[in-house]
Amino acid sequence: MIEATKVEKGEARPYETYLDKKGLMSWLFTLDHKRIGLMYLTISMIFFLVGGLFALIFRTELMFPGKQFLSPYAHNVLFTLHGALLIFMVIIPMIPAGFGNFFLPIMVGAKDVAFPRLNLMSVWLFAIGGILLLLSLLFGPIDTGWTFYTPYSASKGLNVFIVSLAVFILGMSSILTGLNFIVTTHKLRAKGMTWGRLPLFVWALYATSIVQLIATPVLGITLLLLGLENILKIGFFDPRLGGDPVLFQHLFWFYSHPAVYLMILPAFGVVSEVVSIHSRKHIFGYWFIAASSLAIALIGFIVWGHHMFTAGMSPTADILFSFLTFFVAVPTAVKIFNWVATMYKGKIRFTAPMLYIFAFLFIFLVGGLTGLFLASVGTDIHLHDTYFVVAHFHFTMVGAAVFAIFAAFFHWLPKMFGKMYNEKWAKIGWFLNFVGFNLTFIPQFIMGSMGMPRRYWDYPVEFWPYHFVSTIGAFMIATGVLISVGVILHAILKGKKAPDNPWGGMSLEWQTPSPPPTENFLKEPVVTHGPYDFGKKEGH
Amino acid sequence: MLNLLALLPERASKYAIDVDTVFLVVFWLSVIAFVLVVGVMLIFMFKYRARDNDERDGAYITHNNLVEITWTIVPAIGLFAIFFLSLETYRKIKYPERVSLKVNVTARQWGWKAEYPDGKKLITGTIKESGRVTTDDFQPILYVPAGEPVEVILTSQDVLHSFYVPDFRAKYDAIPGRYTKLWFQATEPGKYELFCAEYCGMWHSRMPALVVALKPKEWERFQKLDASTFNNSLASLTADSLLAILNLPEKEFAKFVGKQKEAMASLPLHKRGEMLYKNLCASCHTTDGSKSVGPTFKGLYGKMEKLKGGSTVKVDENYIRESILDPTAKIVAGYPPAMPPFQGQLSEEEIQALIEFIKTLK
Repeated sequence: MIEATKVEKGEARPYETYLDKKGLMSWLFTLDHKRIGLMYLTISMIFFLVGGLFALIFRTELMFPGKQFLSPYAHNVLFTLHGALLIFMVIIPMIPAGFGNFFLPIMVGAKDVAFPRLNLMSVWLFAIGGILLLLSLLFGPIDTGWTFYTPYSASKGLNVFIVSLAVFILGMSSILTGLNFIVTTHKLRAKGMTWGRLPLFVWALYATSIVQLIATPVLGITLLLLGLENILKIGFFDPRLGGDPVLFQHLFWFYSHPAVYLMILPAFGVVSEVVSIHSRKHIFGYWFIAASSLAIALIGFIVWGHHMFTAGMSPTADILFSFLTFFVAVPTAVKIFNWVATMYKGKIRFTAPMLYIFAFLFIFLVGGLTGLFLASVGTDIHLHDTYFVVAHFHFTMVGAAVFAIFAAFFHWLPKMFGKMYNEKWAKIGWFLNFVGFNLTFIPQFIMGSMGMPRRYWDYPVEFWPYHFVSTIGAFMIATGVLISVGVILHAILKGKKAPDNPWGGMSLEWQTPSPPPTENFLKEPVVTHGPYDFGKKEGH
Repeated sequence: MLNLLALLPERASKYAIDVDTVFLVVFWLSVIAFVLVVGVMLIFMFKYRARDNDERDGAYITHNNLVEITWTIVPAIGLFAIFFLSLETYRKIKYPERVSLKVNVTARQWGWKAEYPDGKKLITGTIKESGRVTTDDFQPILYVPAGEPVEVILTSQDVLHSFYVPDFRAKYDAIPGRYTKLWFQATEPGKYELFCAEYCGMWHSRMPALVVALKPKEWERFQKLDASTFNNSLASLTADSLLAILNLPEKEFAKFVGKQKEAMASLPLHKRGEMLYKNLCASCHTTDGSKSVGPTFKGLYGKMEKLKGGSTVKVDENYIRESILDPTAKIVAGYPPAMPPFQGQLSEEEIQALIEFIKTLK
């Protein structure tokens, strides 16, 4: 193990950190995975705030029945952009490409990823995709929903073409990152870093990368076809031209269902890290957690049809996809049990990242259990395309993924910048996020069960109380997010100096100084124990 | 136990109880799982919290295969039990034992059209008011006999839509270029909300309608109504008005039906056109000269219209006919190509009636 270098206040660091080089060019052309990770995080964070703002605007419109201030078109554009920006620019890339880029090489004990130049290209493609998404607004904002269902989306012309091109480019970036991570994990592990000593965050990213590599090309092809359909009227999906709109749904969900695991698997990785380190306890069932990540990644490929139980599939397909969907719930349940069991006989610290993990477990459990209502084909026919579905995927995608993102920020911030955040304000932000989240989405479960369809600009008065409460919750989340982002920025700019290993972590990233040196370690690391060997005594 | 929750809407179809049974079984199993996991988590959080300045590590416990296998298999059994329970419900939703009425329903941006085997036809439009909307604002799209299984054959003339009646737990997508179907059996007479559940563009939220389940006697009388009389006048009535007619005393009902037939026979063509206008065109075309989604009908006939692209056309019978059947063929300058085609939806006689009505608007 490496001795951490202690630096007193005011004393110059005896090594060059990755942050030391100054100037815009030193960032734009950097090959350092940590800088690339930070650029991903910055871009994603901006889109996170913008996408959240869009939601806040249309939630305000929905606070009362009847028209408030948005036209139906404006509302439809806002929910489309909210979904598209948050999915493609935030939830899919933020943990793997942001935190993953920063920490995966350090965690395996490497100087960088396997292909640093490819990595730089990924972040460039990511930025170009993001800019194209914004530019598409100039050609008339799209109102197709982030799902781009045909034939509605097939007759929109240039703007859908540009958006599909943007997502195509984002997909390229995602594929390259996945490739990089797989090779890095295989080839660049430090001496003594066996597969069984990999932190579970690396396992989760490994599983994620497999999905990125296999599923994303299908999205690319699908969107390419959709883009061409719009420009050249070829007739893949538009029945007027001889195409099949249901074919589009199959192709779209063949990527987009595995994509929900792209969003959630990295979050699972964060949970495994934080729950173990902040409980000062060995993770319970290391191999079961690692294997369940792979199982989820693989089974996730064969459940896409559960998005289409009312869309004209054969009964055989309906039943088969329902069955397979229940199957994917098993490894997910196993993970939750293991995390809770990790706390058993631990020494749990109630830090901000740990609070986010408690909230994660609570919310993800609800998200997972409500998934059962949608997996069973008998109840899904009633609930499909209602607010129940909206609430369900916000519980899994937002509640779980975004809460894991905040957990990751507070857990790793001291390492990334060598600065400590304000614990009190981080907890206030957490409280508002947690309460606000439940206030927003629990009423949506109720109105969905009552039959409130999703993507509605207006609704009959009977649904009003639920929409009203939901909007109040949304404002609470907005306040919580602003406070949390403020705490992060404050820590980076004015935070107190953080110790190298504030949580007492045992994985490699905690054994190097904060912020990490340019090539991650001052001496080449040699790994002699597992990442979670808390409480291990001689003779174990 | 089944009614403990106010979560679910009224249970108004035969298989609603089957859907709700699965829903509530999953609900209570979930509650149990949730309480167990969160309960254990809360106990651990309390019991194993680190006191101040306690820098010790937790106990060294890494795994336990027996525990792992148990909590893999037990939930798996529960999950597959739910799957099999839900299969039986699925079978009931999918396959009716018999069907006593088949109705064709065509969705469009943004409304519905229902066609009965005897030629009766109902068409609903888009509610474009900016104020609050209640069930009273919904137009009837289907009259069905309560207690009888009804099959709906769905299609769409433009984009995807979805036929959704929450009280029946019935939903299926309407897909352009193919037929899909669903069935339901309303258990009680009443009015039930129909929503479009698949996002279909601008006015997705404003194409709701009503499915009205009739008592046996009402249904008997409904069937006796002459199709062309019904289509030209009664179809545009509110559900309550039609129910009132169906519940008239025997003699008055007979008289009413007779009168309707007479009135229809002697009704001038342009009057019938006016009824059709109110039903189909009024949401986008005004008769007072003001601009709406489409050009006003006032003074339209005989006018020279400037078209998109610069050419002009004289509005005559043929132009109006073409514009109804194939609206995007010649678009008036300054208007979006927003009108749905009515090809196959209106009879030649109905088109003539509309043209005659437009001619009266000088």
